[in-house]
Amino acid sequence: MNIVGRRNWYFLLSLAIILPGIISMAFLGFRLGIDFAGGDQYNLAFTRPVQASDVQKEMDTFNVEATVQQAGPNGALVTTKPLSSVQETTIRADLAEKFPLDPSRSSYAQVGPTIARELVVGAGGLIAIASILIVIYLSIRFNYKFAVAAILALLHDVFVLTGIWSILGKVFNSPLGEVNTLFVTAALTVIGFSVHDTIVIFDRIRENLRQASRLTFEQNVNLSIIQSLARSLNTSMTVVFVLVALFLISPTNIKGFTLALLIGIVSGTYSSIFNASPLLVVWRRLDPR
Amino acid sequence: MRVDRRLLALIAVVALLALFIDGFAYVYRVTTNQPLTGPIRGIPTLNIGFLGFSQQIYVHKGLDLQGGTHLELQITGVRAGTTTQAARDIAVAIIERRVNSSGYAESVVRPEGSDRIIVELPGVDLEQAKQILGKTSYLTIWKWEPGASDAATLQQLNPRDAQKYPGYKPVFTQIDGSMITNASRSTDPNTNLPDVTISFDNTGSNLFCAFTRDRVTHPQGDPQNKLAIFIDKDLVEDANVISEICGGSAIITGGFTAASAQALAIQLNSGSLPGTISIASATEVGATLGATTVKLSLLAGAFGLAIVILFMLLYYRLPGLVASLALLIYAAIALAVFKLFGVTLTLAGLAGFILSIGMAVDANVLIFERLKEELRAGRTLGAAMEAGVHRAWPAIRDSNISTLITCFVLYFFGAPLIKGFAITLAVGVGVSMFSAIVTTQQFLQILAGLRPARRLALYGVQAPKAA
Repeated sequence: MNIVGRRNWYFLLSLAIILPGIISMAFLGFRLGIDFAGGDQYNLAFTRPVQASDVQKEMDTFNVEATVQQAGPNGALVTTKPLSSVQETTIRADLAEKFPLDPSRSSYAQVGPTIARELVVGAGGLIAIASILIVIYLSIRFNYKFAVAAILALLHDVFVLTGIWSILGKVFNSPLGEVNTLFVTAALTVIGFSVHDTIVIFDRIRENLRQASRLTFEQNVNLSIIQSLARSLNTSMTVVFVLVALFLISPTNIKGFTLALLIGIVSGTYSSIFNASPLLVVWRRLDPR
Repeated sequence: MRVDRRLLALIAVVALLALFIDGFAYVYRVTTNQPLTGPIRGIPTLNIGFLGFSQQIYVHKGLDLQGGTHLELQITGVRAGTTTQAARDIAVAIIERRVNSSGYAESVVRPEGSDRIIVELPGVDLEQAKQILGKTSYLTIWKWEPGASDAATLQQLNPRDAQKYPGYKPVFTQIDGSMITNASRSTDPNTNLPDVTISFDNTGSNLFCAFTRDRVTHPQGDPQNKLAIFIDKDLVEDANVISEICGGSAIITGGFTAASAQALAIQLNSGSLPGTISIASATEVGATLGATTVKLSLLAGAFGLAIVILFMLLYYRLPGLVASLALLIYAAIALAVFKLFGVTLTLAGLAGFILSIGMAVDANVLIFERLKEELRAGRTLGAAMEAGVHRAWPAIRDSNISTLITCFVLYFFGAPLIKGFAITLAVGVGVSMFSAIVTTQQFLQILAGLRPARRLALYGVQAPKAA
C-alpha cells in the first residue's frame, strides 16, 4: 500500500471538504447559539405532541424575534432576543397556559450580551493557546518540522469541523449546526485527539528513522503509516462506537455536541494518516536537509 | 521483567479502595434507608485536614444533571469610594445569608472574576431563585448644592430626580445603607400613615447629625435646606430639615402603603449593597430532564464500554480480556477519584470521561499491536510483552501529555462548563496511563508465567516459521 505516493490525491480530497466550508464561513458565517449571540432560549417539553409552527405563531405575538424549532414530536426549541425579567415571566406563563407544558422536563437559558462577547474572545484564544503549547512540546520531543506538520493536520480538522458546522447551521438551517459553548468544547477535544493520533504515527517514524536501513525517507514514512494503521483504525473505531451510541440516544441539546466530536474524530484519524505524515515528505523534498 | 509483587499489591490495594469508595456509600444508604444520591443531612462529613478534604463522599452532580437554576450576577453602578471587588464581596455575603436561610441543600454562592457572582441552586426553578435573591436596595442620602450635575452623578441617579431643582445639584453626604443598623416599619403618630424608621451606627449617626445641623442653617423652602434620600437611582424622600437630628435614628415618610413600607424596611435591612445587581446569565434545568440526561449518558457509557470490550476480546483475544479487566478497574478508579475529590459531574464532564475511556483503550491497543509485532518477530512471550510495553511507551507518553496540555489550557482559561470537561478528561487520562502501564503490564506478566496461556493463537498471532 503506497499512501505517501498518492498524497496529492489525499490532499485534494481534504481540500474538497474544506473549501465549501471555508466559503460558507466567509460568506454566511455561523449560526450562533445564545452563548455567543446573547438572548433567551426555552427548551420546551410537552406532555403530548405539539407543532412547532403553533408555538411560533404564539411567540410572534410577543414581538421578540423568536425562532421556534421542532425538537422531537413532544418538544420545541424557542430562541429569542434578550428578554427583560418581566417579558420572560409573561412569556413563560403564556406558554404554560396555551400548551401542555411539562416544566420538569424543560429547560431555560438566558445569556446577557456582555458574557456572550467574553465567550467569543475566550474561545478563539483557547484554541490558539493550546496549539502554541502543543507546538512547543512537540518541538522538544521531535523537531519543529514534525510540530508544524502536526499543527497543520490539527488546523485541517478544525476547518473541517467548523466548515461543516457553518454549512449545517446556515445552508441547511439545522439547529444541530449551532455554535455554542458545547461546540467549542467539542472543537477543543478534537484538537487534543487529532494531535494524539498524529503523535502515535510520528513516534513510529522517529523510531524507524533511528534504525539503520536502506529505505528512503519517503519509504520510511509510508512504512510507519502502514505499521500504525491497525492501531489508528482500531482506536478510532472504538471511540466512534461510543460516540455513535451517545449520538443516537442523546437529547437534542447535546446531539450537536456528539455529532461534532464524531466528525472531528473521523477527520482527525484521516488527517493523521493522509495529511500529517505525507506533509513531512513534501517538506523534506522542498528542503532536503 | 518478572511479575512485580509490590506493583501487584499496589494495583490490588488501589482497586479495592476504589471499589470500597464506589460501593460503600450505596450499601450504607440502602441499609439505613437513605436516598441513594446527594448529601445526607445530619451525619458528619469526612474531614482530612492536611489534604484540604472535608466532605461527604458521593457523586456531585452538576445542575444540568440534577435540575436547578444557575445564575451569573453582575454588579454595576458601584458607588464612589468602594472598589467593585469590595462590593462583590459584600453582595456574596448578603446572598449567601439569604440562600442559607432559605435552607436549600448544596447551593453555591461564589465570586467569579472581579464583578460577577455565581449562584447555583439545585432543585430550584428560576422564579423561586429570583424570589430568594430578591431585590437589594442601596440607600444614599444627598444634599442639594448650587451648580449643575456632572455626568457621573446623572449616571448614578435618575436624571429626572437629580435635576429636580434647576440650578441645584445633588451632592453625596457619604451616608449610605451600609451605616443602617436596622430598619423597621413604623406609623406616623400624627397622620397615622405608615413610614419607615431607620437606625444608624456610630459613623452614620455622627455624619447625619453634622449634616442636619448644617442644613438647618438654610431657610425653609431653599433646596439647600432639604435632605434627599435615594433608593438605588430613585428619589424617594425630599424633606425639609426642621431641626438637627442627633439621636442616631431617622424616619422616612413619603406616601407609603403598609405593604410598601414593610418591603422597603426589608430591602434596607439587607440593602447595604453598594451597587446594583443584575442577572447576566441564567440557566434553568427541569429536574426530570436532568435525570433523563444522566440515564441516557450512563446507558451510552455502558453500551460503549460493552462494545469496546467485545471488540477487544474478538480482535486481541487473551490480551483483550486483560485489557477489559484493566478497563473496568480504570472505570472504578476514575469514579472513585470523582467521588473522593468532589469533582462536579456535568454533561460535558461525562463526555470528557467517556472520551477518556477511548484514550485508555488506545494505550492498550498501542501495547498489543507492538506485542503482536514482537511475537511475529519470534520473541518469547515474556520478552515480547516487555518489549511491547517498552516500545509503546513514548507514543503513549507524548500523546497523553499533549492531551493534558489541552486540558490544562481549558481548565485555567475556560468557562465553567469547559472546566468540568477538562477536569474529568485530565483525571481520565491520568488514570488511564496508570491502567495501561501498570495494570495491563502486570496482568500480562502473570499470563506469561502460566503454561496454558502460552499458545500464540491466544494472542491472534501465528507461530513464526522455524528459521
